[in-house]
Amino acid sequence: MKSGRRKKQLRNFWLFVLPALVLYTALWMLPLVFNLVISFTNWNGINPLSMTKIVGLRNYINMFRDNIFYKSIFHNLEFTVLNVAFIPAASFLTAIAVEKSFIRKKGFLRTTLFIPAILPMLLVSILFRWVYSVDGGMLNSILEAVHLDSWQRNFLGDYRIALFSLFVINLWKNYPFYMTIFLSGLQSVSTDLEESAKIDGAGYWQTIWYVTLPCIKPIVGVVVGLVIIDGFRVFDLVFNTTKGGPAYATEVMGTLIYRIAFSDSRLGYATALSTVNVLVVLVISFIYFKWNRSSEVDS
Amino acid sequence: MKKRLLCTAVAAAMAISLIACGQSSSSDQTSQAQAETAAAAETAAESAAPESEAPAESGEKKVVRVVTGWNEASFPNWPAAIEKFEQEHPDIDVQIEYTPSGEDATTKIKAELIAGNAPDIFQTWKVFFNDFVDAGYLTDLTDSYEAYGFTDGVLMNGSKNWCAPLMDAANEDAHVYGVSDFICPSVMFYNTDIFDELGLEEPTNLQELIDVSKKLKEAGIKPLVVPGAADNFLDILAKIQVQFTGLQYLLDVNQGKAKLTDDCMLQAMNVLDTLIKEEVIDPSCISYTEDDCVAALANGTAAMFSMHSQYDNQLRAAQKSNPDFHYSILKGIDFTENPVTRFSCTFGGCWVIPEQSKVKEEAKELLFYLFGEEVSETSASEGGRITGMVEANKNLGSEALQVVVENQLPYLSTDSYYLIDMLPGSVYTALRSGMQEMLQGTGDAMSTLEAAQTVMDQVIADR
Repeated sequence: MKSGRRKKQLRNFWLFVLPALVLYTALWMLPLVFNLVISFTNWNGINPLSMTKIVGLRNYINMFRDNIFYKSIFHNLEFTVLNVAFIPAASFLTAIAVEKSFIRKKGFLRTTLFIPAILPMLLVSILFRWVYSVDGGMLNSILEAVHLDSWQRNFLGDYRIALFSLFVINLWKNYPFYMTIFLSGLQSVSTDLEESAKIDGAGYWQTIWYVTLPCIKPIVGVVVGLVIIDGFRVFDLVFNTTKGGPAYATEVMGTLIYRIAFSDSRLGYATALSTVNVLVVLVISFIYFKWNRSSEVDS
Repeated sequence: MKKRLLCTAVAAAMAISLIACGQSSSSDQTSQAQAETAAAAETAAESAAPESEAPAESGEKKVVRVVTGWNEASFPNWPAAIEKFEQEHPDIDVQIEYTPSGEDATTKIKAELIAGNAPDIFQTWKVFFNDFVDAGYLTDLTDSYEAYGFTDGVLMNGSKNWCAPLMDAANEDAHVYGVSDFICPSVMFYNTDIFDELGLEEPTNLQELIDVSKKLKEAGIKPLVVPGAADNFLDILAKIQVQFTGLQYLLDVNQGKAKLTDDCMLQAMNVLDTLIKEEVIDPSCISYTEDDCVAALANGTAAMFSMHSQYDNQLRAAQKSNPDFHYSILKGIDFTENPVTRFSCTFGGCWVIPEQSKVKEEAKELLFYLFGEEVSETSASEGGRITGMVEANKNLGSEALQVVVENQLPYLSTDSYYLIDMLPGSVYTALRSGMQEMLQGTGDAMSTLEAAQTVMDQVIADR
């Protein structure tokens, strides 16, 4: 009797799971496996696969001799560190300002602040090309107007600050998205706890630090995790503004892989690069989430 | 039983909702994209149909599917020309697909070629064209050139070999696998108002260019702008390189027989270095795109703009919105006393017919009509393009381009082939990056060439 019921349960289980599993395997897992297989060949993306040679680990060996690969991965790391250092803090503080402020029209404020997040990256890139422009760009004009001429820069053309300038665009575009995640977290914090803290004599910032933040720690963990992954996925922003220049100063893995694959028609090498990129993201994300989970358990 | 029915109903609902989701997400796309996709699918299906199903039956039209790499605005004269072609060939139905600005049609075409349902005619770029030829995808059109009257004298010098395999580019008897579209010599646009105001003469050699630039700088004007953030930054190098090396050297570099660090290329790069050190090229243009350069020339912050002649269209558009802006093209600058050839030139895209096309003869008929004398006349007069047809260029609808026709076209040859088209993408990116370093004062000519050669070695090893 029991085994009949179990069989039925199992069948129902597969009935529900199978459509999603098939789609997931076909659209996600198979391309990943295909990507891995191609990385061991010299396929140029044009020849039929039958004409393609297996080259073993040659693409991977070449990669570790390629200076631009090191530059690109370092820029991704740099971008990720900037992301982690600023985006969660900026989005959390904005969420606090919106949620705990005395402004009545909170809905309007939330919507207004969220606008950058819904703009397409192409549009944002064009917008900021003008903001940063050396010829009458908004930022340089403002600096001139406030007599800070010595601060005027070619923000996207100076190799020392180009990556940071791109990061500022990324911050402006993406922090509202994370702000909404924090907002939903803040709304779930019990007001009883915060009021108890205030009765016990805690100040505004003490309440946030000792009560609010620990309550939304899992959300902080998710936001930081997403921000790390974003740092390694950056592509369209760089491609639409600097194309990796000047002099590879903003070259990231995304732009490098794109160029190798589609300008050079070296799909084998490009897929090897993307495989390593995925592995780096997986390892960093794994380490982070492991650390985050253990610190959650400790606390 | 009820539970089982319920489970089945829920699973069916899930499946339907998944399909619906897919449909709704696709409905988010623009209607244009939908229409294009539908048309592409439809025509792809038609062209992929077995030969027996090809519309050869009496009364049925043969469909020739054409995919362009540019948008509709790039071919203002084509709709009327195609209509006329269809009237003259009632058995042929031309289905043309344009590619919206900023999109790349090549990736889709590569997939279609591999799947065996490529368009019957498509436009591709020199670097991909070479790969397509090597893979054996393209139809040999050598005989068709003769048959359709695309002969020496009628055709611009260098135009035919543009669509020969890369290593045969210098060979007069090479087989050709496509038709080049529009000729774009590398030119130097200049703002005539600024030159007139400051009483400057057109520079004709390196020293004069430096002298003129000094006067422009003194007047607070950027002498020369280049699209430093774009691949076309290499246009200025192409202008110089072509006078020092010619074509065979570039072919040898591709085969590993010559190095980018060789003396002839180093001399060219040193000239560029001089232009940078003398601040002929304004350092601020390291972050410029082509559009920024057009704007700088049109609003008078820059006096000269180095680019290929296709940007005449953008400048004419700028002139329409600002009638006070006037420009022309320098007749030519000699960067060395005895140039191998005087002008660099891209012969544009390659229009090809894949071997897998089932309507090759009809495709040839259309292809040689679109780039033949009749349509080239209107491409020049209405589209403002320099075409591959010598006679058609006499009716160019652009005053500035007439300077090119008179002073540069007679000098063009296979030696003029454009540097950007003759090197792999990663190599010109390495050159561009090195030139950016030179522009910001952190690199030099030799280190730029060494870095580019390192990448070239990798590409050769990867073949």
